[in-house]
Amino acid sequence: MKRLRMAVCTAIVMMAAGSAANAEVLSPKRIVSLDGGTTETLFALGAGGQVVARDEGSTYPAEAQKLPAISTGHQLNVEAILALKPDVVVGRNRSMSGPGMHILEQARVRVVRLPDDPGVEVAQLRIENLASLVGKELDAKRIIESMQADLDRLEEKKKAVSGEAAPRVLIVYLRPGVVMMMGEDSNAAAMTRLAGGQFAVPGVKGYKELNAEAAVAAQPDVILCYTEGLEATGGADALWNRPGLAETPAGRARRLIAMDDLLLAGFGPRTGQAALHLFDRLHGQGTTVAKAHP
Amino acid sequence: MLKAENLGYRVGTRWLVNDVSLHVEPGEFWVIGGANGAGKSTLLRLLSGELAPHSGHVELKGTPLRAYEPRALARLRACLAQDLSASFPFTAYEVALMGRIPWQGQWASRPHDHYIAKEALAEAGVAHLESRDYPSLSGGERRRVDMARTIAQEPKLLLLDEPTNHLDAKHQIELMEWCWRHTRQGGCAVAVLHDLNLAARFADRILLLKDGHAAALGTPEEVLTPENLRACFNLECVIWRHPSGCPWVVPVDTAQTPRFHPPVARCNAGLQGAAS
Amino acid sequence: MTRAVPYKLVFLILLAALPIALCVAAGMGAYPIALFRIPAILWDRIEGEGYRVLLYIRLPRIFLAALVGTALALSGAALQSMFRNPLADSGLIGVSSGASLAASAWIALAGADSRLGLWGLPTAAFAGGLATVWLVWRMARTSGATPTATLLLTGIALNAIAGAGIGLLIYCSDEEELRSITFWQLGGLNGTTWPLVWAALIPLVPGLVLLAPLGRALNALALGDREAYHLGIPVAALQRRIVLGSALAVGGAVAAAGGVGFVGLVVPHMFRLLCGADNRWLLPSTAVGGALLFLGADTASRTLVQPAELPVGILTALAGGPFFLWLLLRHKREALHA
Repeated sequence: MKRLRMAVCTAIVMMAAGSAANAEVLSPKRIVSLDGGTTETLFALGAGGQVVARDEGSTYPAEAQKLPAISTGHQLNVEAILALKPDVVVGRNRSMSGPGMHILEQARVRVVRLPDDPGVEVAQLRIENLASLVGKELDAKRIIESMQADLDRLEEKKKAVSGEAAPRVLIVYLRPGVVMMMGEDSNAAAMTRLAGGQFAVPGVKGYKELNAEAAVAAQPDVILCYTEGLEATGGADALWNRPGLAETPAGRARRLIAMDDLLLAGFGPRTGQAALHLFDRLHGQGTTVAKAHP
Repeated sequence: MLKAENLGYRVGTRWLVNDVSLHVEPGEFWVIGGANGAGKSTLLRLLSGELAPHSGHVELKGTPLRAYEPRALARLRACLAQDLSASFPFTAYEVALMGRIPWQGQWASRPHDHYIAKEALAEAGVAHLESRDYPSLSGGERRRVDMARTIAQEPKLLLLDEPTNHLDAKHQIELMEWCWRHTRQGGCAVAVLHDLNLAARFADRILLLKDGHAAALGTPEEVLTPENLRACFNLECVIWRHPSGCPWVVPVDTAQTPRFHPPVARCNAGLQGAAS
Repeated sequence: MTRAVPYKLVFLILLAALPIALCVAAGMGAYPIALFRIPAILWDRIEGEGYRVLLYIRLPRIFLAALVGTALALSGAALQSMFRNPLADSGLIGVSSGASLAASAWIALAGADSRLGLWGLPTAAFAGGLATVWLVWRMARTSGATPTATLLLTGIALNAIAGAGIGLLIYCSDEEELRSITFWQLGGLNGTTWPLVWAALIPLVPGLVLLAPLGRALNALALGDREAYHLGIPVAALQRRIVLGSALAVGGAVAAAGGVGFVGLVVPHMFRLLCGADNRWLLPSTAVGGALLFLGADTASRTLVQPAELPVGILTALAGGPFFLWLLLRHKREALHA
């Protein structure tokens, strides 16, 4: 099923890319990127110079932040996009729903949608798609090989610890006044599984408010969260002051991992590095204590 | 008992009550009359202490009204106001028992309070309604339950604002008789009444207001004259005599030739019986 | 209509149900602790996970739920008598909307400020609620007196303004802030710790102490402001006391539990439909009834969809609404037959 969906997505992207290639010059000069992973990939492919605007979540690499932000995730400023006269607007499916995209298409702006499922294969597929869009297939090959090398190292490391129980990971999403948990269908959960962690609250989907007792009942060894949310809610100390989390095995050992959300859940070109990094931190190597202010 | 001197009350620059003085002795039943908007209800609210006068002052038992604690005042005077809100399902009994509030502490009611509330309901003729919801009663029944609440308050001074509203003829007489008896037992009462003949039958003194001023003050005999009524109500009247001897105001249609009919003897006999 | 259910019976049933409900609630939760083991756990102070979950997570939450329910129901009952409107509740004097506005503003504008940490949001909500009540009171005041009708209308006007403010903040906030605001408005006691309970007691206790002994005075006030005065009630002082007590109690409740309402509206009304309006019984009964309803709703909220959490505002409405409707319909039928 997943493969089929992927194949269809690929076909759509290829068709879009192919038809464009016939009509225009090979590489679009002005690109608007609507999600962080896409922006990151374009920069990694060496096509950063062609990106003229980004969404607010495009925070990596640092150069990307100099670009004008024209979308805040749920609100797309169509006029601002049109004013930039883009050759192509590109992003993942999730960031490209809504009436704004329809208007863009009607205005004959070329829109390219990428599949947004988490996972290594889709991540690599996205890189290939973007590479063919900007004509940087060789760079794509280099990135994917490097990612694969990281993942191979990860597999070896996983084998080395195969005797131990996988650490149970509770992924929380912190906002002022609310602690939510991310479900098993989230990108962060997929990354956790990739890095050899065990998802602590199976069956939960989407974002749900976390019951304090349930946090203890889930017996997580590690709490995983986004750096941004942790900072916005007062850092690690405030987190451990919340009822429930401090009583978990993770809380007693003060094991908290905070990761940049693009790195943890982006499934972009750094997927391999992210998985390795998370693995190391899950298994007590590298910094296991949270960096409140990295 | 109740003494008001040079009372004045204004809203903006308009004086609703202007320079009214009265002196109610124990055992007296006073009636305040006057046309709509003459300031009757305002005067009554000044006498109850509810409104503070802009000029003059009110004394009850020699003490200025302002000097009373609300609770101490409520043990001396009770009011029967024009209309009550009925949003909550209190029973008639509960409403009557509220008359005991000035005499009670915060929570418990003494057996004595329950006894008085029951007696009051019986006296107002609504003992059979005691477990009914107050809001579900008719206007007249509610009025009588209110009356019971006022009775239960055991006041010396009764202030009544159009107490006969909503009541049928028999209950109007009953209510007036009760007030009259109250005054004969040493209490006093001041009532705003529209029915001049009820006033003539029961009042010891009548105060007629016109535009906030006292237009006439005295016994029914002195006040209820065609001249006074013309001045206050702009109404032509002839004054007949009730079989009991008190004046009987008969309004005359000014536009047509008056049609006179002799009073019906049977009706007179009944009234005489009620008044004695 | 004569009412079949005597006051005393309902009050005693409610009173007896409270400790049972507290025990049952203590035995329920996402973390499995058998009910019969609770005394042993507490008595022997077995320093295990169960002890800590029970003592640091479950008990403070149960305790706060009961208190919040009491505060909402009691202030609802008092305000209904004051406004002589059975549909009044703490929302009418602006405390809920003011708290909601301040909480939203805190989330949208100051959410990153970590100096106040977890205390920032409840403090802001409490201050906002109290400030709004003060504003309503001052604006409704005309030459020393506060006419109830003016108070009502001022409250409604300020609610609308606060609603506009909240709308503006929602518009300005990003997706995550929006989520926080929404969750706050749905209410919940998930973040309860003992320090939060103690902090909530600071306004709650004076509020409840101000409101609880007003039974007889409220009866008089329910007849009308003038009638209450005639019965020896110092009306202006009583109004001040009701508004202040409600502001403190509901302000504390809302600060601790977020946007919870409805309990204040529905519990006194239910009691009136069952027994009658005598506030001497109504106040204590709704205090206990409110605690029961809110405790039940909160217990459901933390157990129904575990490990997740169902916002308690949804549950109070879901539990109270149909029951309320049933009572109303029954009442209507009886009124027809009477």
